[in-house]
Amino acid sequence: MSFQVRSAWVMAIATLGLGGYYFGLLIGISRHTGALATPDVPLLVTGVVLLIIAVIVGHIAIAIFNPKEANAALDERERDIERRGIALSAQFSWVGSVLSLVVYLATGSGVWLFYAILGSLILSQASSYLTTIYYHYRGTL
Amino acid sequence: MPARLPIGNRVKQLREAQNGMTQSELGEAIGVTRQTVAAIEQRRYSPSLETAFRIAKVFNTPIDSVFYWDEGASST
Repeated sequence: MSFQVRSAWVMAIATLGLGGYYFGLLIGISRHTGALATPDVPLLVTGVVLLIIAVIVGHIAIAIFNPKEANAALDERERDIERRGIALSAQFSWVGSVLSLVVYLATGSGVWLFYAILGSLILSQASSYLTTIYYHYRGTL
Repeated sequence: MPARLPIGNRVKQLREAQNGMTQSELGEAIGVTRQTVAAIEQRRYSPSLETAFRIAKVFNTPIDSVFYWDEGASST
C-alpha cells in the first residue's frame, strides 16, 4: 500500500470519525432538549483541534514505516488519482452548497444552514480521500 | 472487473531479464513508485509517453518492443 493510500485512510477516518462524532453529539443534545442545538463554538474549535492532532499523529505513524516514500513527490499516476479526488470533491461541494441554500429557503433557519454547509464540507473532503482509496484498489484509472 | 487497457507491454519480462531487477528499482530509475510499476505491468495503468520512453531507455530497447497495441483487449 502506497503512502498516498495510507494518508487517504488517515484523513478519511479522522474526518468522518470526528465529523460523525460531532453530528452524533448534536443529535443527542437536540433529542434531549427537544430543539435543534445551536452551534457550539468551543465544541467546534475542540473538534478542529482534535482533527488536526489526529491527522498529524496519523501521518507520523505511517511515515515511520516508510520515511522515503513519505517525503517523495507524487508520481504521475498518484497525481491523476489526486486530480480525480479533487474533481469529485468539488462536485460534492457544489451540490452541498445548493442543497444548503434549499435547506435555508425551506426552513429560514440559519442553524440548519450552518449544519448543512458543515456537513457538505465534511462529505466533500471525505469524498476526495475515498476516491484515492477506491482508485488504488480498483487499479484502472 | 475493470476492463483491460488496450496497450499491452512486456515490462515485467524485460525487467526480470535485467538481472532480476525489482519493481522498486525500475520505479526509481524512471521516477514512479513501485505501485505504479506494478499497475503498468498488470495493464491497470498506461504510463505517460515520457515514462514509456524512460522505460524503453532503461531496457535499452525501442519503445515499440516494450509497448504494443492489443487489438483484442476491450476498452472502456
